[in-house]
Amino acid sequence: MTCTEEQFRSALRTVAADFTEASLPPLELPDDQPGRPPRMRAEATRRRWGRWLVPLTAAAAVTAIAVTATVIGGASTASHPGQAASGLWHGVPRYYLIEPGGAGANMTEAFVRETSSGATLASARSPHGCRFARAAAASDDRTFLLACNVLTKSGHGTQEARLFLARFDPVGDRLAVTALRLPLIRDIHSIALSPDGTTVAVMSVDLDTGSVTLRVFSIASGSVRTWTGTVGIGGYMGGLSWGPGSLLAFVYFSAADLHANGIRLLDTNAQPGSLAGASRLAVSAEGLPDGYQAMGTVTVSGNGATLATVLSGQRGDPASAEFAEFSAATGRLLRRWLPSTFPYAAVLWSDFTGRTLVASATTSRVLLIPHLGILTSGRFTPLPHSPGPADLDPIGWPFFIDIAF
Amino acid sequence: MRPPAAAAAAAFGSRDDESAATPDARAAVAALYREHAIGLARLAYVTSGSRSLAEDVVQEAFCGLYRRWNQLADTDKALGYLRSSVLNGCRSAWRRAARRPRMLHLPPEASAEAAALGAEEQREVVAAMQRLPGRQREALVLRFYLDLTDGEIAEAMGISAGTVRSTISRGIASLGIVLKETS
Repeated sequence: MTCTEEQFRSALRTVAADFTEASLPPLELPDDQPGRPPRMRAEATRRRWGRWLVPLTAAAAVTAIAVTATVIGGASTASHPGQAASGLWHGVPRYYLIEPGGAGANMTEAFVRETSSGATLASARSPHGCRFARAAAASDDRTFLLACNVLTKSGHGTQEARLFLARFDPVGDRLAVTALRLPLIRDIHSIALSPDGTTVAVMSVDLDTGSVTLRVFSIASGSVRTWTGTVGIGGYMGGLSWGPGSLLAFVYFSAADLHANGIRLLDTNAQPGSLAGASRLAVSAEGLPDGYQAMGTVTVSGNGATLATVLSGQRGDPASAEFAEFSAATGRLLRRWLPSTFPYAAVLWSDFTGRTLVASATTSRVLLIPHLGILTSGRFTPLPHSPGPADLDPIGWPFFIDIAF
Repeated sequence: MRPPAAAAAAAFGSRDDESAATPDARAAVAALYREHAIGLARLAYVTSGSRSLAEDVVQEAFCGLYRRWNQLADTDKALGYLRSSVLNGCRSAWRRAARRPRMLHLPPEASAEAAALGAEEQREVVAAMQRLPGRQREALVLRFYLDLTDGEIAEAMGISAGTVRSTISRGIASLGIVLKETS
């Protein structure tokens, strides 16, 4: 995939999205009499060109239908990309991407797996001179964003990373990786790809100074909007999750301003500048239940109404996790699931309503192997053939493995 | 590669019965409209650059399907028929437009979301595509918007898979040149 092709694909989807479902007029089928010209066509034409053109247009419409009927092929029933995204398996995406960090892999390969079977369908090696570091997914279950740390000549990783787009072709079982025409970025902590695959969000955290930078890039044009802030030494920021439209959620923990901490929402159409000023505190960390002390990853439901996260650190025990759902509008706690079940957990994906999630969780405090599963109705159902020891360095997880749905 | 007429016959069977409209047909076409109309409208929109034309050709395509529903031999082919109808509708509109001064364009009527993040540049990319010959334009949209395979594009356009590949290759090269000219 060349840059022109990628730019073109992205542009098509952005422009197509201008045409919203709400703007589509209702279907008006003609009466049952055969041979009568379609009424809608006549009306639309009348609206623009005046009544005197109606007979001509009606005739043209009949001709068009006749011509159309003679040239149709047995064209494929393959879906529109947006519709492909709705082809879910048990309500979750059909494919996911995993960058394993096992001893043999060392994050030099990314694999696309089938959610229903766990089978590896395609793989790609990290591009020359870099090593996979982070992954994110669009909503079509086959477009992924990859961040690769640039390597020195001697093969050591640096703090600089390059961004790539990976596109899985289920027909040919191929994973094509294309470099994005974006600058190198330092200290990447978290990345996100917009649901339509046209926009990239990158969160950088400078651990030495505690400064944070959020950049939002247009893939097609390379234009960037930047917000900055300070979380201080020991502060944390990440867990980027893209909601509907321009909504971006992230977890924010500043050592300097405790009142600002929690899950924040940013409208990426907002003016660049101060991250804390431009974003809204949707769920405050000060009101966490039962002495929980932190929030990990966050996902926004497809309708933007709810935020799913993992609460951790109950009563000073860092290895305690519980899933929770909050209202994005009011910050109210809506539900909690599976307390004291998993030492560590993360939410990876949410459906449109937030009722079905994909999450990872470890069952052992010692061997930190993540089990992927579907979380719905308060139950965690492991996916077939979740990542196993071969996929990761157990000591390193979750730092040397990334999974994107 | 089947000739278009044969492909049409395969889709609709050989019956000459024109009295298609039944309550079942109405419900079936309405269901298809709910599922596919937005995707087809977007296809027409990016292909033609005109919102009103996109609405018209999609309505026309569904009306055409409804009128011939009882002749449809394989209802699974309905989406293929609709897609071809939409492409034909856009093609006809372009032929008509070619006789007039340039009137098809992408108006700057973006949503708030599109107003940001360089959406204008993306419009320019799509506008550049609309300066390409019709066949290249259609092949590019079918490949890069609908993600169809060579074979699927060949069937939708009534050309061979080899021609699809060469058309897309030329289209991308031309698009690169047009983009350079406009930048």
